[in-house]
This record gives sequence, C-alpha cells and structure tokens, in this order.
Amino acid sequence: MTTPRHDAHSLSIAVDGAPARTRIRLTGDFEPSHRLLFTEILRGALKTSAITELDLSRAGVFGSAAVAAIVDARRDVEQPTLVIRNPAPHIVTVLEISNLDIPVDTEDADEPGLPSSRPGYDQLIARSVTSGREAMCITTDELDSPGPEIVYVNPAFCALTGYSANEIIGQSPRVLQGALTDRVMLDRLRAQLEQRETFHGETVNYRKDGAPFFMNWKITAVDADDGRYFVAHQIDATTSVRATRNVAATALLRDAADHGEHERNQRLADALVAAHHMLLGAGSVGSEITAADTRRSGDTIDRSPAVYERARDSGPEIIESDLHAFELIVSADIDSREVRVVVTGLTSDHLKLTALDDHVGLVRLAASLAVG
Amino acid sequence: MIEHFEWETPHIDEVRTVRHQILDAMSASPAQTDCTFETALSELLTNAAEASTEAERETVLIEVHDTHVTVTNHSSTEVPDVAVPPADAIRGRGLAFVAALWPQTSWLASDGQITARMELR
Repeated sequence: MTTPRHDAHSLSIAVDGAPARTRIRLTGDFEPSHRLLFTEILRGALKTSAITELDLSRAGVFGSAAVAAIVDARRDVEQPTLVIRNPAPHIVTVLEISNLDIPVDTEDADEPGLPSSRPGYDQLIARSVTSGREAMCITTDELDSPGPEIVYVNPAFCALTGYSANEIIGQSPRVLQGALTDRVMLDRLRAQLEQRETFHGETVNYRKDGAPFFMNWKITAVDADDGRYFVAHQIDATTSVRATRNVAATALLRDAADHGEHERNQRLADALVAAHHMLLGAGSVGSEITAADTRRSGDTIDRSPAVYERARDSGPEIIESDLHAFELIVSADIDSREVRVVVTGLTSDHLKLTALDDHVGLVRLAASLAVG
Repeated sequence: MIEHFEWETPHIDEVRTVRHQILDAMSASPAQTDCTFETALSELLTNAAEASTEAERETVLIEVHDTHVTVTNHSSTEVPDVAVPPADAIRGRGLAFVAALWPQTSWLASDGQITARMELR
C-alpha cells in the first residue's frame, strides 16, 4: 500500500533576493500551469542579481514545463550565473537530458582527498570566486576599442562598482573610466598586457552613480580552451590611498619645519602647497603662514576674510568658482600665526575623492610647526 | 483493472488533477510511487493533452491496473520519437523525459491512437 505523496504538495516559490545573490527555493510539484509565473520570477532574479541559486532540494514533480521556464527565463538575459542546488535524482536526470549547461551544486562535497580529486572541485573554486570579497572581472583579450568585452564579474565586483552583472557583461571596462583616470597608467597597462606581463596599478575609476574611487588592480592573461582572457582582481583603495598620501604630506611638513626660524615659514608654506597637491592629485594651491599682524596678499590666496573665518571656525569651505570648478579653502590659527590655504581648479570628482579632514589636519600641523 | 478514466477535453492545466486521480487509484495497489514516477506520469499526461488539443480535444483514455498504467491519446505519429530534442527547443522533451525517468514504459500505436504503458514496480 502506498501513501500518496502528492497530497501535501502544491508549488511554493520562495525568493530571497539581493543584488549579489538571489536564492529561489521551489517546494512541491511544478505543473505546466506554473510555467509563466516561474519564468517571470526567474528572469527577474537573473536580471537583477549577480548569482541566482535555484534550490530544488524540496521540489517534487519537475519536468518539461520547468525546463521550458528555465530556458525562457535565460533566453534574453546575458547572465550565465544560474546555479541549481541539491536536485533530487529524478531532477538530475531531467537536467542531464535537457543539456542546459547549468552548474549543479550538491552539498555533499565533504569527501576526503586533495581538493582537485573531489568531484565538486570546480564548484568549490567557482564558489570561492563568487563569495570572495575581492572584485573580479574577466574580459576578452581585445585591447583595441570597443574591446575588451567583459564576460564575467563576481558579486564583489558588482558591490564595488554598482553595476549588476547583467548591466556590465558585454560592455568594456572603459565604462569605469573617467576624467581623473590616469591615462599614462592605462598606456602602461596596454603595453604590459601586449607583452603578456602581469599588470599591477592604481588609478581612479568611477562607479555606476559617477562616484570616483581609487582602484588598485592586477590583470593577468589566462589562456583557456577557447581563447585568451584577461582576469582582473580589483580592490577599492580609496582609504589606503588617502592614508598613504596623508602620511607623506605630513612628512613633507615636518621636514620643512626643520630649518632656522627665518626661513621656516616660507618652507612650510611651500611644503603645504606640495602636501595639498599630494592629497588632491590636482589643482593649483596657494598657501601662506603669517603672523596675524603681518598679513600679505597673493594672487591665489586673496579671498574675503569672512571666507577664512568660516573655514577656520566651521571647517573647510568649498566655493563653486566657475561652472563645475571649485575652490577649497582651509584656515587655522595657532597663537599669533595664521595659516591659509586656497586650492583652485578642482572638480567635484576631486572633492569626492578627498577627505577634507586631512586638509584641516595638515593646515593645523603647519600652523603649529610655524609657531615652533 | 482497477480504474478507468476518460479525460475529456484535456488541457495541460488539468494535468495535476488527473495525475492525482491516477495516484489516488494506485493507492489501492501495492505499487510504490515516487517523484520519478510522478514526473514521468506528468510528462506523459502533458504530452497526451497537447496531442489531443492539436487534434481538437479528443478524449484521453487512462487505465490504472495493479501492474501498470496506460494512457491512450490521439497521435499523428506512429511511434513517439523519444530522442532528445535540441537544447533550445522548448517542446518535445516530454516523452524523452518519460523514457529516461521510467524506462519501464512502452508505446503501442494503432488506428491513429497511441497507448503508453508504464509498468509499475
């Protein structure tokens, strides 16, 4: 006597969505009438997530209607990262016959032996890439525009750049570049890749929303069965770049202060200019360190006293001096010395990349060194 | 014979209902069912419904026996082609699934109708 299994099984579709990964769990029997609804749900997940996992551990009947839904959902979506998890044996058979070329992941890979001897080794590697914190991007090897073409990005790349896999795959990494991207570095990148050398560099890239960030990346050419690809590993280096530049700028000021009193202020002023150049990577900088009663004016430093007062009392002052051009004004008083810095010729991208507190700190340090 | 059904004006939206009727009838037999059998049966019924719809909704005949289940429907082909269709083909996989999932299935064509016989275990 058999106990009908079907009584408790109508299909339920649970979706746990996120930009990096969406999990869809099917519970129960997949009937032909479920095809359209499931197609839309799966297509939506494939379009919006870097990775879509289809958990079939609780699926019952799963036949041609389900396969057709998967085929339909993938038809117009350039998203290769659909993974099927834990299918029952009958579903494995269906998938094998269908030849859909979808990775199947079973959670029984705890077998002894070296990693490469495990049946799930490729899946293990794939999972490491997809779950890693380091952004990864694979492109074709055409260096001339409009190439190279992005063929794969991992979820960390999507988190870093703001693009979904669906948006970025098929495009060129050039979409990440902008006004502050170092063209000399890009030339070096090209030259090294042409020589089949590994490239390692750092420059400004842009997220989907236009926000600039310092990107540290390494690119290696990898030969596969169907051709040559470039594999790039990228990290957001904005914090470390700022910290490194701040340390170097501070060192400049301290070196400048190590002189006799009669030349200290001029050296500090020069060092302050250099330090701000270092922090910003651009702009024309003017600075002066003076006793309050011996103020002098200069071409770049001549601004309204009220501006310096606001900068001194409330923090850095940013003024739009021209269309899309900005000035950064910082000021600090220590004892009877006043330090003023005006940075001109900045864009909003420079300001976004700059930690303004670093500039205040440098000005105050210069003021304190001038007193000494 | 345990039970005989006539599935009139078949449609694929009714596959679930008809499958449950068959499984309920089988509950009186010693045969065991599982997801593999149910998926194969579902594919067989889906194929029968589609074939009958194309033939202007001819009735599908279903018989549940102690040892086997038969599904008889109109067919414009003599023997079902259970070869696997191309990967990008949406339709035509059903009978290939039946053959792979439930190898104890045989087909007999006669007078414009085809009967699939699924042996039970």
